[in-house]
Amino acid sequence: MNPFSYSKPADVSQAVNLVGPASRFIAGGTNLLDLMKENIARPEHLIDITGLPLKEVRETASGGLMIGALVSNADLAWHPLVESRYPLLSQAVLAGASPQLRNMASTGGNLLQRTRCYYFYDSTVPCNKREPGSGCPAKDGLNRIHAILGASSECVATHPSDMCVALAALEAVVHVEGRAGKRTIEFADFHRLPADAPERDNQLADDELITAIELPSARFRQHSHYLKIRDRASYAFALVSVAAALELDGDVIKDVRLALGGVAHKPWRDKAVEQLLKGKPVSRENFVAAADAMLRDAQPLEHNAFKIKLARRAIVRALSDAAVGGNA
Amino acid sequence: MNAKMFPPGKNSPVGQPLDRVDGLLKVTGQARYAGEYPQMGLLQGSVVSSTIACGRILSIDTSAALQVPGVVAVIDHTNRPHVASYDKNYEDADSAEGSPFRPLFYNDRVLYSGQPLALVVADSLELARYAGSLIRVEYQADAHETSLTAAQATAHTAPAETPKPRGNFQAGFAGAAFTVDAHYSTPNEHHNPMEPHASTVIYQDDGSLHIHDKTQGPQNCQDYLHKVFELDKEKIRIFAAFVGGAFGSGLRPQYQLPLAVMAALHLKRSVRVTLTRQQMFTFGYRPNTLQHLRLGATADGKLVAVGHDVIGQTSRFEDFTEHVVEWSGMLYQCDNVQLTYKLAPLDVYTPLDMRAPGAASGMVGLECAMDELASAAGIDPVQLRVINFAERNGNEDKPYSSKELRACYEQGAGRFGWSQRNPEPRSMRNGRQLVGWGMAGGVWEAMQMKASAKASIDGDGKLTVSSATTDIGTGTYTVMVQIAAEAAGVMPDDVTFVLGDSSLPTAPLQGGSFTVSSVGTAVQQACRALRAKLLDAVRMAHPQFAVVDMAEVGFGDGYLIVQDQRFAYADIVRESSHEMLEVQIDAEPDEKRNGYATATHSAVFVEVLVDEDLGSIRVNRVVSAVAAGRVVNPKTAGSQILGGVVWGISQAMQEETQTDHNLGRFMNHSLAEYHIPVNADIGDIDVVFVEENDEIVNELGSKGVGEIGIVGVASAIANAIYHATGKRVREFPITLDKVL
Amino acid sequence: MSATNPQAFAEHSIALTLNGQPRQLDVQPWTTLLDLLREQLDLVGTKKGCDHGQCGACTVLRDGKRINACLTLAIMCDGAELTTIEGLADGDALHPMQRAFIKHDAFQCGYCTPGQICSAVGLAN
Repeated sequence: MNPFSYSKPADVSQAVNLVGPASRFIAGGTNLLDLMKENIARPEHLIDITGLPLKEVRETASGGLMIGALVSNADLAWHPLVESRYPLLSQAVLAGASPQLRNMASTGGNLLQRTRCYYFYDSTVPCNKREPGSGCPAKDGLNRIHAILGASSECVATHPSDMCVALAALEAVVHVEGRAGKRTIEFADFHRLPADAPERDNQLADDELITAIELPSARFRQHSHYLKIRDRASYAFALVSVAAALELDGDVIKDVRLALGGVAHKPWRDKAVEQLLKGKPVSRENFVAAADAMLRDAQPLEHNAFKIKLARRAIVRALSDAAVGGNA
Repeated sequence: MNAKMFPPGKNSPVGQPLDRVDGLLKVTGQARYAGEYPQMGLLQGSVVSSTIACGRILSIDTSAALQVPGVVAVIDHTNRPHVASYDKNYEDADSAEGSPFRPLFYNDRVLYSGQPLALVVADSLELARYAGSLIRVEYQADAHETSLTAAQATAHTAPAETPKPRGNFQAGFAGAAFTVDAHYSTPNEHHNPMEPHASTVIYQDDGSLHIHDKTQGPQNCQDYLHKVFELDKEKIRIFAAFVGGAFGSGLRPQYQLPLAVMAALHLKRSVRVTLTRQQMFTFGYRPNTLQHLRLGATADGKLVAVGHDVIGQTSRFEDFTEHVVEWSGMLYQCDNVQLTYKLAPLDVYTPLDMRAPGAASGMVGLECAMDELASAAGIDPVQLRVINFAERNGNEDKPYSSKELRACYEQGAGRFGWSQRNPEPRSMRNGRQLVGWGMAGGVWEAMQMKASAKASIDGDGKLTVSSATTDIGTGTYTVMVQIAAEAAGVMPDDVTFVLGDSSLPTAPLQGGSFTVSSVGTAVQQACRALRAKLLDAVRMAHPQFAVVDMAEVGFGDGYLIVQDQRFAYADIVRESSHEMLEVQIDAEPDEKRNGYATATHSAVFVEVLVDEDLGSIRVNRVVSAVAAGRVVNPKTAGSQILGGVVWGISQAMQEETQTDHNLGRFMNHSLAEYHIPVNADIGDIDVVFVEENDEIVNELGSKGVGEIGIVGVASAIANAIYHATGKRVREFPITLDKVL
Repeated sequence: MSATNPQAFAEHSIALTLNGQPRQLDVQPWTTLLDLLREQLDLVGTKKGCDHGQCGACTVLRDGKRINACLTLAIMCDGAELTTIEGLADGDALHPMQRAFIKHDAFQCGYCTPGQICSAVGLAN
């Protein structure tokens, strides 16, 4: 870790005005400090935002929820309104990390987690995400955990968050504030695909701070399921995860949301696939067709072809479980 | 007269489930490990590691690091102080054949990725780490090879005493009614004890060194430093009061020790060097093996051919060998056996013994192949093993001192409910889960080494026993107290066992499951000798007993009983002219062992649940039935077996150090990506110790339980996965992608 | 690469409650809570197993909740109420969780034991 200076602003505008060329915001610190210890992040100034008033979960006028960016992952998962209305989100949050980390990590910070690609995490080897232009050894190296969708020749990393997969499915909105003022970003647009600039994970400007995550009113509480498949029962990143949510009218699918984790540089959602299911009855056949469509553009690397098969099966399983009330 | 006598097995402290005597210190955070001793003015060292696998260092630029205020020194190959020149000075009690690694002591050669190249010494840990990150190394990289698969053609015969072929394997195999011919592989695995390796070197005013080191052999480290730094042994004292796990990683002095000592001697100051978790992947490990198993059996299941050919990896500088194929020549009765063992040198560090070295990997091949043979022959896997039970160790042609393996099969199968098993693969299910039942056997040697111990009793009747062994979590402190209490005839509460100090009586490395056998025997003999001393004191002080014979005297509860008189040990000592009565003995394995083979055995039964669609595997329950002679403490021994079973689950399904062969580097060097089981992965584990009486192995009748718990577990799981899915996965670990 | 002088970054004064005792401490921004406890306060019961939040050996209780001390900056603990393994027992009377660990031999080498006990207490809280 390199030395740095420290400040702790009391309000958001003060915080964003403190941003300088080599500064970083810190809240839970669970990923940032990890990266700093590996010499991957080298901020010269840390802006401690834990004193900002962003710790509330409140209902919005439109019947949704506004979740302050500093609400801890644990408090979010166990919040009565989240548990009862957005069980998909609770499940996803609890599928990630450890209880210790969830007590520390913030909602906003969860969106900004960096990839767990081995090569990104080892500062002695090339990585385009860490050092643009240095190369991507993962493409021809150990790529069992890497992307099968949306990757580029520059980067095959995946986004590690579970929570974000559920937020993508729930069509959350990210509220941010920078020096130029406030704006909102649709969740689907928040994270980027790597393309030729894998060093950028998301659309946030340097001086912007996530202040809240807004959830639209709940429509999927009866029929949703978060399925995470990993190499051990807990504390492992997803090989594949699926957030599935259905709005049913009898056994006809009125609306559906489907997002995948562990397969791409961002939570993977395909509205065309969801469209395919709308108006159709709940059936294994329809779920299989949706799964096939979801993976139709998948491109395997040497060690991760299994993810295509696994993702297909996981989608069918998650949709089936959601249909019968996956949160019962 | 109510003195409790302690005949073995009856009211004796030996055999009782005593709570750990060091438990209080461990649950309150008071137990200090190597990197936790404070010292005024202590400097902290941080190691800079190589990033290439093979080549030369062209330059090391330390200028930026040295500019950081608070950095005291940077030591690398260009400015290191003098050390010994000859290879033999770098050998230790667990050396492999060859030319031992010399941290910083080569000139400019890089032999593996992760090699220590420089040590930064600074006033604080943060400074040392930061300064280390500023060091720039330029390399000339040479071509490297780190893949055993790619290099197997270059393998040479291992310098190990592999049993000679017996009978005619080829003919036996050719004429067999049923055969198995299969290839298995096991990956590299790193020990990853929870405590990272650390050495705190406290520089004394007289220039001598007191060193708290993470080691399984304080005297091994003392001897090593004595030779490397050409320092008098009296000037080096190694302590290891608590060791936060080791599993073999502390059998050899690891590089943080000589680096810390080098800095302390150079700066004449106290220095600590602690490795990072990532650096825990930069020294010994369980090596990758490629195994070829060929088994042949008659129509009724009798083995007529056993062939086991293994290629293991080693470094360019040492030939690491382990007992990987021997088990295939001894576990079952077979007259035609051929075992070969080769090594392929790679641009990697030398492997190192890891829990049940050789057996944990070699038995994967044998016991999976036995399951394949059972399937081929249509014989129940337990029955096949009973049919081939070996009364003698075929490798040595000696009878076993004891071998209650049949009782392990029987009791393990009974506890598990094995008789309910439908032998057909994919025949058992529970909803979406395929249910699989599998089993395997385990074996490990029951060795004994020379060891010494000292016993002394004071005027309060308190017994102190000591030996330079360690307690790496195995329960040494506790079981030695029990052995001493029984042998001396005192209550366990009145016994203190002292270990982890190179100045104590000689003890072997703590490993190989031979600590109870070796040090326990020394402790027992020292305490017996102390009884004689107590009797002598009574004879001196009480003329009426001057000629009383030992056989007429009882010892127990802290009392010596002769005729109708009881003498408290405390009073005997007080009445003598000494402050304490003390005796030190050297114990050796009894000669009667020579005519016998000695081993521990186990039978492991496993139930797995495999999600048919998603491939995820859960080990739902395990029964491990163990025959290890007399169990000194069922509580701590049970924990040893539990730990072994958990590690077996890890070995079967999770654990693998993954190498990027393009870079020649281990890439999953963290506890996030190097997977070992979490609590949620572990189902029910039932440990059974079967009764096994052994009067040959040692007087305690105890064989040791450190290794046996892991052996066979991975095979039993693989066999259960086959039973669940119909799929033989022969490449370990069996991750879910392999069963999809 | 040029060096930055770490001493140019001022120490900050923090106040916290540690195992029931109010403490006033001067810390550098880059010191983690774990290194503060182990290296400066000699509270070595909180262990460093990985230093990256992956093993749990450094688990302590912050305001009654379990956290990883290795991924917590000491400077960010201003005003916190911290309990480490050294603060669980009430004098000589062990915490019930500590007694249970001994009774069930729920440890071997003991290195991760303090973290496991603190984590278990955090769960029970």
